[in-house]
Amino acid sequence: MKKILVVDDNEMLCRLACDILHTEGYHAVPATSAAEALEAFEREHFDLLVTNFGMPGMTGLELARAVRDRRPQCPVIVMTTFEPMECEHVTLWLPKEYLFPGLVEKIRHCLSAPGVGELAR
Amino acid sequence: MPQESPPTSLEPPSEEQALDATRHGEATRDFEACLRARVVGQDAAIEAVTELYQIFLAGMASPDRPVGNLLFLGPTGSGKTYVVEVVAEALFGNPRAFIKVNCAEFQEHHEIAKLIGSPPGYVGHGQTPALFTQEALNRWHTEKLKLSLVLFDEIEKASEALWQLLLGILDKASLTLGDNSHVDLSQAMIFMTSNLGAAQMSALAEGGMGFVPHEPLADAGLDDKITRTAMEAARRKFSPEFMNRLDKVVVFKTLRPEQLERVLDLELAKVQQRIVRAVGQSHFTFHCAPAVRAWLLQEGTDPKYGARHLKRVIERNIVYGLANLVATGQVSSGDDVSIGMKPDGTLSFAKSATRLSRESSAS
Repeated sequence: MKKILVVDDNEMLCRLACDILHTEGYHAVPATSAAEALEAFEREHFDLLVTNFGMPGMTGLELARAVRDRRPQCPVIVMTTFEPMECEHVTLWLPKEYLFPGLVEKIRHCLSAPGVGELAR
Repeated sequence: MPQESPPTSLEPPSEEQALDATRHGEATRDFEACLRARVVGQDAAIEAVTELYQIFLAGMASPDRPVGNLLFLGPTGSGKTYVVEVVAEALFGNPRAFIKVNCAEFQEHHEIAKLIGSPPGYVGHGQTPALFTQEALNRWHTEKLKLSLVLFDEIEKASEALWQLLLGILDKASLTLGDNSHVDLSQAMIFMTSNLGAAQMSALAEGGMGFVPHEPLADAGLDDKITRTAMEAARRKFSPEFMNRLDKVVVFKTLRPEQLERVLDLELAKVQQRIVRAVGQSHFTFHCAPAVRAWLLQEGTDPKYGARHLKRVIERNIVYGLANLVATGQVSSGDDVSIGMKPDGTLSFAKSATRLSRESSAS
C-alpha cells in the first residue's frame, strides 16, 4: 500500500483528506504543520507528499524544498487557493476549489507515472 | 441403593423441565444484533453464521473439521463479501480481519504456489512466501476468541489444484504447505462465494431476456426463482463431494426498494461516523433532502448490480463535495450542511444554522 503524507494546518481538512485517501486504498498520514511533516519524513518512508501552500511558519513550498533535499525523487503535490507558480520542487499544483476528485486523480497519476518526480526538475 | 423408576408414560415434561434449544447465549445474541444492524435483507445468511458461532462458543464444533463451511450464492452486489466483512468487524473490530483468497487469481495450476509456497525442488522454494500460514490464520486471534475467518471468493473460477486443496480444507481442516508444514483450520470459519447463475439471475431480476421488455416477477416469486436458479447452477458445476462438505448453502436475495433505502441510511450514517472519527469534537453534520436520497439510489443501485455502486456514488458526490467545502473554508466545525437538488439535476450544498448555535440557543 502506497504511503502518503498529507500536510495542512486545517486539521479537519487534513484528517478528512486522509480518510478519503484511505478509502481509495492509500495509507495516508496526517500532519498539521511543516515541522510535524519533516519529523514524519525523518521517521518513515513516504511515497508522496501532499501539502497545503499557505501555512503558518514554514510554507508548503519551503516544505517541498526541504523534502526534496532529503528525497529528490519524492513527488510533491501542493494544494492552493492561489495561482500556481513555477517551482522546481513541486510536481503538480492543485486548486483547493477542485480538491476532490482532483487530488485522487493526481495522486494516481504521480504514483503510476515512472519518474514523474523528475518532471519539474 | 434406591433406583429411580423409569417414566411410565410418554407425557411431555412439565414446564420447569422444558429446555429451549433454540435460545442463543448472550455473546451470540450480541453478535447477531451486530450483524442485523449492518446487514440488510439477508436474514438467512445472518442465521447461518450465528448458528455456527453459537456452536463454536459452546465448544461443540467438530475437532477435525472447520468450525463451519458456508457457501454464499447470489447475484452480484447483494452483499456476499460484505457479510464476511461485517462478521469480521463484529468479532474483531476490523472489517479486514480475515484471509481472502480471490480464486480468480488461481486459475492456473502453478499459481497455487502463491497460496501455499513452492514445494522443495521447484523454482521459488523458500523464496515465495505462503499466504496461508498458521501465523496469518491466527493473526486476529484474541485472548477470548481463537477463531479465524477465511473467504474463498468466486470459487467457480478456481483451478483444479485449488479445488483439491479446498476439498482437503473443508473435510479435514488441514493444509500442507510447500515446505511440508501443516496448517490447522479447525478453528476457522470458511466462507465461499460464487456468482454461478449470475446471468440467469440478472435476467430474472431485470424481468427476462430478449428485445421485448418483461415485467419483473413479484418479490417472493423472484426470490424463489433466484434461489432455484442458483442452487441448480451450483449442483451442475460443483461435485457432490464438495456439496456434501458444506454446512449451509445460502442464496442471497435481491434487495427490495425499502431495503435499498435502509442500505442508503446505513451508508450515509457511515459517512457521518467517518467525519466524527476524522475530526472528533469539532465535526460538522449533514443531511440529504428526499430528492437527493432518491437520486443517490437511482445512481447507485440497479437490478443487475444491486447496491454495489452506492458507496462510490456517495463518496464521489457527497463526501468529495463536503471535503471541498471544508478545503475552501465554507464549512467548519459545528456547521450543519443540508444537501439538496438543483433544477438542473446537480447537488446543492447549503449551510443551515450552525449546530452549535442551535444547541446553545436551545439550552
